[in-house]
Amino acid sequence: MSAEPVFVAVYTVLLLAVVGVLEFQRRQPTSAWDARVFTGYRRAVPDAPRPADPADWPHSEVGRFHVVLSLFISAIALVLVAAELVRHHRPLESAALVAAASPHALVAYRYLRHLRPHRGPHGQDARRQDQQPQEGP
Amino acid sequence: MGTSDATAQDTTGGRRARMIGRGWVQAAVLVTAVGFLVLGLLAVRTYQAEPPIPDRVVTSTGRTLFTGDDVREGQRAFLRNGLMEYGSIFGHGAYLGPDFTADYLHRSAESVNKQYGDDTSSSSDAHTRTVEDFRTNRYDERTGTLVWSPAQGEAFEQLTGHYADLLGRPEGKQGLRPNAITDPADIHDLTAYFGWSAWAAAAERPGKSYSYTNNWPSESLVENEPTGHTVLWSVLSLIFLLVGAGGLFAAFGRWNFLGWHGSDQRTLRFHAPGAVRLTPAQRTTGWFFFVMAALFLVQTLLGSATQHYRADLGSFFGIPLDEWLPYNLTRTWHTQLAIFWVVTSFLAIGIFLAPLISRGWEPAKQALLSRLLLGALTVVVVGSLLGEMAGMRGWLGGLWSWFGNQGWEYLDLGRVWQVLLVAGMAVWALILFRGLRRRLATESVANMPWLFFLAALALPAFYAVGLLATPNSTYTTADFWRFIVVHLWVEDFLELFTTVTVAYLFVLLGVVRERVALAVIYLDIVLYSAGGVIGTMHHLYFSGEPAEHLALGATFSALEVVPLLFLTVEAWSFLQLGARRHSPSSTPFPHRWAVMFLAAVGFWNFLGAGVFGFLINLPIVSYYEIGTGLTANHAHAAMMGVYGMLAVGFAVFALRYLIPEHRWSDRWPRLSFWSLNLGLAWMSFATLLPGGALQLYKVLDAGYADARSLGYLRGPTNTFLEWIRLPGDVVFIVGGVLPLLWMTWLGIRHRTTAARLPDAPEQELLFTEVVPADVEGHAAEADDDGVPAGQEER
Ligand SMILES: [Fe+2]
Repeated sequence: MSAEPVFVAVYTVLLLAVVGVLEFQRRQPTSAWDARVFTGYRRAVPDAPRPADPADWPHSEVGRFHVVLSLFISAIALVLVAAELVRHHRPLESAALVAAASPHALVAYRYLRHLRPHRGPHGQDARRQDQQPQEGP
Repeated sequence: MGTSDATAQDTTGGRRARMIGRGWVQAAVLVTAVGFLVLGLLAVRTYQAEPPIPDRVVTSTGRTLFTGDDVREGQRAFLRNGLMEYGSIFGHGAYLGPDFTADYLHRSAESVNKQYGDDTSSSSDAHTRTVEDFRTNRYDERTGTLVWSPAQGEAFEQLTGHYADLLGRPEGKQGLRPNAITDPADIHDLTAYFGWSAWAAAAERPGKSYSYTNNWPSESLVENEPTGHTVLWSVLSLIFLLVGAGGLFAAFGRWNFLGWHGSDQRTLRFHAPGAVRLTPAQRTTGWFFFVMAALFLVQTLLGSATQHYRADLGSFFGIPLDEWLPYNLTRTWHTQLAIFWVVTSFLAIGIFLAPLISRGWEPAKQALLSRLLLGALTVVVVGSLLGEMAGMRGWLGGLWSWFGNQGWEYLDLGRVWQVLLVAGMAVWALILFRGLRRRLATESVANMPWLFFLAALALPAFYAVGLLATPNSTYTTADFWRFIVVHLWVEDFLELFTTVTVAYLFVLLGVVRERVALAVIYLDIVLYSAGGVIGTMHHLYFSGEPAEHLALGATFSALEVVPLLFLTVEAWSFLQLGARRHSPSSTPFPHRWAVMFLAAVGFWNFLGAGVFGFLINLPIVSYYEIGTGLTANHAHAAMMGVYGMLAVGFAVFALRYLIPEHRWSDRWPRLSFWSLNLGLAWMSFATLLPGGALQLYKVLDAGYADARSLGYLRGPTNTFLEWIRLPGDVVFIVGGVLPLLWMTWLGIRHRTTAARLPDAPEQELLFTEVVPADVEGHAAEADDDGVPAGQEER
């Protein structure tokens, strides 16, 4: 087994970790009231405003940004592995590469499904609203 | 740091009083002043402790190898021929060609070892003698003479032949144009320059057990290894980072930093873009943004040509590209344009914002001045780029450094162009001053209009520092001043201008209260200055500076990560305020995509500047890593990710007003947004990160010189990784840059004709505040933070 497929396989696993971090980031609250800068504020004001609804723009975009980015990272992993399989495909090498890539395929599939409903009415709505003819002040 | 002592309504001497607590201003001034004081001391130490250039280098048998003038002339030849955009010295420069310091050191040590019996095992006699030759500092300060061993002299002769072959090859194929440097005198001087830098890299400083470059590069033949300082300050800087982050974390919990006492209950009506009348100067920014997008396109195309050389040095799909556009020229243009197009956008947004800040007031001839500025800027950009080509080809004779290329990476442009660029930015600051002067006269210097103007003023001021680096400066001092521009100007003052501008945009849109924005700006100044000013030294660990630069640079630049940890939420905090769920605007928010680009800035600030930057920041990592693909990874993700996205975001913001409503479509910014972000992510994760990691491994495995050699870069694995980024680059250029160019074209083609009349009443241009009826009674007593608690709409 030559060094290159080993490296690609290891790097592919590393990209899986990147996807994991992005997933973690996606789940972080984006509401300003939850931000660390405002810790003191929250203590000072017991009657803090309600946190933002994650469905509200722009918070709604955070999820999509991270999902699309993760999807792209998985795509990079799959392209890397596919190209590497063309270059090195002895049985052991192929097995290692396919093993490293398969979680990415799974992740990509799940994210693709996740994206579809989000692309639906909500996103459309926002756009249409933006394009409405508007009257002046 | 309470803010309760300031009230917005107070005025002193006709000026609106400071809107923020005095503590903030004092802290900002103090932190910045201390930073610059230390920086000044480090500048002095640079001149005291840089590696000396001997008057002459002779062998112990009395033969003169080269003189100090040869070394200085060699540096000029190095810069004149654009070799710093091909390879590097002390790790700084371009990454296709060799690091000439490490390359010379390795090759000459190999030669000396061979002459002594060709045995590289660490216990052998040949090895001991080689190490002795290179590490013993036989420079006599009194006579100005440096003595080399006859074997080192012999190596010098051999390497003169080697560099003659590498740099003057008739067929090229190494990244330079064919027959690039053929003059034997030039080759001799260049070899002398490389030889001098290699000497400084291995010879021990007087009284110290490490070399002038803190033992960089890693080279086993001369026992160059990381110094104790390198290891120690790596560990200490990590501890500093943890303490700094922890301290700030505790502080955030203790104080109500932003001084809010209640939530904001204004109801806004955003003015529809079609209803906003632009001033004549604002309308000229359409051309600025078009020029910006055009420069951006050229920059990315040159980037792909540059990248092509890394993937395939031999040919460009059969076209003899290297004849006219060799690697060192495309890379020069690529790095210069990266600065130019971003700055163009910054200048434009400044001109666009000034009338908004002045509530629609604009002095006469402002548009004319702006047009002249753009014209002059275009002349400087085109002139400097062509000059670089002419300079490298030797067409300018003795004027090469004036009109051609001074050659220091990022400050490549000729001196005349450099002065003109500084002057242009100064004129821009003047234009802003004209536009703002009425407003400035009525404001405390600590308030936003002044901060905006001062931040703008810092742009020409700190770019001008680059004038201190000339082709005649010694390498170490030139590098010091160069990084005042590359680090302090870009990473700190552009960052400051960015923060002020973005904050002001939100204030002008009415979604953020002025005092909140001010608090964020001051927090930003304090945090970025605390780490960033002295942190400039993190670029100078190994460029001939003494160990204190390494120690302070490592420690303070680690602190630079702290604001990135905390302030990336700032973008989102603004957005939260912008979302105003419970006080909805009756008209939609018009800047969805501009805000998306700003959010992308936050993301890349964290990933590109924070993560990828810190990855290579520790001295011990930098020692092996400097000049490898991981530096390029950080550079691209941070420069494009932060400043590139920001420049595009500014353009999208202004274009929303420049393009008439019925011509505007969200399709173009959406396509551009996703393509730029994903293309950049692809560039980073498909090629730069894995390629850089592999190259770093190679440094550890086979030494620095080997990992930076053309042989390694042309190896199958690296070539494979270089090619794999092609799809991402296509997405970036076709899907990202072209739609942007199209949008900016629409901004000129259909530029809104409705201009604001000069005598129109002053007003907030972008929104109208609607005070709800039940709050109206309290509005007068409410301070600027918003209405008292209890009035919140639930
Ligand atoms: Fe830096």
